[in-house]
Amino acid sequence: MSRRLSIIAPVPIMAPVLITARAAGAVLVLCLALASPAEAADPATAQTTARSLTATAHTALTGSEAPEAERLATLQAAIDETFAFDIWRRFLLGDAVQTMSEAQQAEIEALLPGFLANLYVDQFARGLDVAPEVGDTRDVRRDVLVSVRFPRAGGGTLPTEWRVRDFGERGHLVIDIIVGGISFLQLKRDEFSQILTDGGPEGLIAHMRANALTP
Amino acid sequence: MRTAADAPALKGQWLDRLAAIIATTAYARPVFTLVLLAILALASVALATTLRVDTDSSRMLNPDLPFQSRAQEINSAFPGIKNTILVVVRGTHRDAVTAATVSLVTALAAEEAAVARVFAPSVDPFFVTNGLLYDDLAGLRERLSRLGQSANLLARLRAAPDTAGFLDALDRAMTLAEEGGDPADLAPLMMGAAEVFETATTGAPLPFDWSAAFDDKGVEGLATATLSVEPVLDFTRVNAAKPALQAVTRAVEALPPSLAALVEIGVTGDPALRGEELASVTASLPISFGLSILLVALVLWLALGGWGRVGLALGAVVMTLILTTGVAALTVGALNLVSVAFVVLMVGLGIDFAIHFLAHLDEEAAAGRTGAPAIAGSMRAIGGALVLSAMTTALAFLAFTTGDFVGMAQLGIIGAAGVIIALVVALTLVPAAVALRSSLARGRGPLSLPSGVLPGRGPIFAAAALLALGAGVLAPSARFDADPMGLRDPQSASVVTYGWLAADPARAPLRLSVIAPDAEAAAMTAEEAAGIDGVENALWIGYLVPDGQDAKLDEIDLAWPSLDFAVNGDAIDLARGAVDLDALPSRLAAFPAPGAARLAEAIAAWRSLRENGEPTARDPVTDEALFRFFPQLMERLAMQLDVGPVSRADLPAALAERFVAGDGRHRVEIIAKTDLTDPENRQIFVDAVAARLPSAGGAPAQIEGAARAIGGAMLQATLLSLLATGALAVLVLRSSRMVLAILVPLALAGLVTIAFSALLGLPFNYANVIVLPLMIGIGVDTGIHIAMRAGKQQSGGVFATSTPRAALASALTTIAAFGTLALSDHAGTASMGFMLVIALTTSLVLIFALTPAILAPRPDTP
Repeated sequence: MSRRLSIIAPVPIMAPVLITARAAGAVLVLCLALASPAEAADPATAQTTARSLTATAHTALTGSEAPEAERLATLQAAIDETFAFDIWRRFLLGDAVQTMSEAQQAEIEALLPGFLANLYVDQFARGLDVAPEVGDTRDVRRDVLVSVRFPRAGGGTLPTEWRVRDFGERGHLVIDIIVGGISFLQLKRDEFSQILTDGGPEGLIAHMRANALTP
Repeated sequence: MRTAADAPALKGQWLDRLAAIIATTAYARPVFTLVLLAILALASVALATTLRVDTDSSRMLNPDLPFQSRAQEINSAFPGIKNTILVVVRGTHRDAVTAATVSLVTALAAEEAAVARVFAPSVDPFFVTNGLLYDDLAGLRERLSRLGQSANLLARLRAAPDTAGFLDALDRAMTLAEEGGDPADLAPLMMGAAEVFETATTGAPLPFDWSAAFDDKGVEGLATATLSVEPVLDFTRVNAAKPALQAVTRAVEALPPSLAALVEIGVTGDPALRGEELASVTASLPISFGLSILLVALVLWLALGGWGRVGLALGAVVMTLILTTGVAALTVGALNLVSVAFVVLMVGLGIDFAIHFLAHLDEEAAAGRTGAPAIAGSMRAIGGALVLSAMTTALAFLAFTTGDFVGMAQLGIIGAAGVIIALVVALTLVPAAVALRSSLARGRGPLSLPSGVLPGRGPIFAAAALLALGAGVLAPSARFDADPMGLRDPQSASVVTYGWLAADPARAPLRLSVIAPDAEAAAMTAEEAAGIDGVENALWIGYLVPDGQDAKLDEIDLAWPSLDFAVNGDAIDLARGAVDLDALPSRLAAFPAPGAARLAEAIAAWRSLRENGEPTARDPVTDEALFRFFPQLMERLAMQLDVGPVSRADLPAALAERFVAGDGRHRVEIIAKTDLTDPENRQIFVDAVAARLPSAGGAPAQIEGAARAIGGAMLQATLLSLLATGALAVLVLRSSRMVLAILVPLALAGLVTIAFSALLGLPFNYANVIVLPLMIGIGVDTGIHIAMRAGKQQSGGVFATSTPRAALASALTTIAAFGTLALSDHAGTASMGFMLVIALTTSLVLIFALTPAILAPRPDTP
């Protein structure tokens, strides 16, 4: 029997020990396979990563000199350079990856950067007059949260936090964006999970195609 | 009319002579006899001070029995399990349950003189911090996702912990839900808030239950928290855990009334159960005792006539009790729950001899004989019966010393000694007292019992055969309930609390245990146990460490910023500006979430009262109701920020020590799927586990093993006692017919008593099992008296003599003395009283009906 513990409710006396040892086995294998070696992130480097991305993205989204396709390609390139797609893919797909064919997995992997670039545009490109402001950092376990404030056209700012992790030779990469305590990664995972439940892998691929940035 | 004195001598006359020698000697030297008895009594009183009472029913069986030795092994390796007091806090208000638990833990931890350790998993820092790791992965993801979505709301509430802040946060949450979330997610929040505002208008606002609002959707039913309190044992007290129990009472009483009103608190566990058991046994004792004295005195007065004779009979009982207690102190040292009932036995049997003696002296007096000739005459008439009945009864009791039922074996030893003591006391005290005061020999005069109501032999035998047939069909369904819980007052607080736990497999106290030499063996045992049909789970130390921690910690790591934001972050404006209180009720009324309309009405009513200046609707009152438990929620969330990998070494010692002994042995705990307080479930579970893991032990195995061992031991002892009694009677009386006349009614009475037990659903237990040997003892006595008297009586039949009256008085005295125990709150004591009335009434009726009928000459006999 498996009894879930409540986050904030009383812990049943013995329920904690009624554990799903069997079910956990498969998940553990997957996690070990995907685990990436990582050092504790350096705040300054993390700040640089965030600053580089937001500056490039801002220029790409607000600049008018270059053609749109070129600007979006610049944004896509910046996203490609600074996002840890393996982490995003792992959390977004979760156990569902086991139900997908290799072709489906490959297509999702190919669509993911464009999907995230489109997400960036969707969330942060509206009404930008002033460049995002990269602020302080704080440690989050082995990662660093970099504060990035997006000025809004109607006044006020949208405070966000960019979670940056040190991937060694791959450098410092963004693994999540948090707005008001809400994790984009979690939010999108819930969304993906629902789509996979409703339409299976093909449904998800269709959704990603429809929402991927195509420079 | 000829009397016994004139009757031809029967075989076994030497017993008459033996009795006569003792009685006439005592009559000749009354002062010496009384002084000797007094000296013996004083010595017994001195010895009795060393006598102890052991209330542990598990020690009433042969410790070498396999299930006993396994239980002993478990108890010695893990002593904390047996002596723990369990405090159960439960209620529908989850925050209140947590708050009360925290208060109790804090209060009890300060009681260092009485409490060695207190452990409450639900509020233990280790489990609060690492509780997330004990969720399964899917559940953890769902929970963390929900937490992430609530983070900004929590941050906003934290920034403005008052009614306005609450309504503002609610309003913004509604906006976000309307813009793409699921409005139903807000249902628990709205339901909880509706309750607060509704109750605020009644003047007794119910505090908001944050845990219910932010935990699983649709959380219903009772939340339960358990505290294990390890007492500092004070062995100078009857209940060594009493100081700890008193500390628990103090801690419960110290809870703020407003908090205590929201929860139910019960105390159970072995020490609490035993303490209350003792209290329930003694609670109705004064009434029961008073009623008994009154009834016994009435019966004796009716039977013997004259208060002096009543006092003499009672004096014989008291003397018997004192001397037997001395013998008990010498022979067994510590009484148990069964052998402590020797008091019942000795009153029942002790008065028997005195009554018969006094009744016959009355008969002698009516025939004009007094003094030494009366004593001698009585002994000639009934002395042999008195001695033989004492010998056979003692032999019957000694038969109970042969089995594995140590409790009953002790009683057998004490009972056998006690019967002989009772005989000697009756044969010495009565003549000595009569020598000093001759009027004690005279009572009401001849008062024969009417025998005309009895039908002839044929109908009696036919009725007996039918009765035997019916009882024979029912008797096999009778059982022995070895569960100590069956003895206790079902209404007592500790038993009710035990029932709370028993109803939930996750907390059910009845579990089996297997001792394994090391962790590896424990893991294998647990795996095997988990595969047994009827086993819910098998726990060992390895199961206490969360599995799949890497994957779970990855998930937690992902959600950690959300948790941190909820605890430390500054809320951001994800929705429109501040709430419009005027518009909120109508907005709520249209909001598509369960509870929204109810909340709309409640807020409208509250606002109306508030605007009218009603004190109950003032902001501070509502603020307090809404946010009373909010800090507790935030504190628990903050502790979860420190979640990290855990190993066995991190587990709280109070928990780990329940599974790993000091010498490194491991315990595997096997939990049943079914409620083991049900005897059938228990038997199936114990048998299923024993088939695969024969070394499994613990309370359920002990109860089942005890039931079987005691059932077998009692059957063996009963048959042996009847055989021994019969053999002795044959040896002495040399009359098979007379032996049949003694034993057949008794055997039938035993069968009928067992059948009644099955018919009434009143199983035998540690308390009422005394009834069987008592019935055999009194039944043998009565049978011998009636049979021997009938054998000696030449005219008028046995019912023309004083013997049936004496037998009736003796049985009625016992019924009067202990039948009132049926009124006790203590289930075991009450069952003893009830069964005793059934058994003695049945045996008396059957002896009166069958014994004379068997001895009566056949109709065709010339």
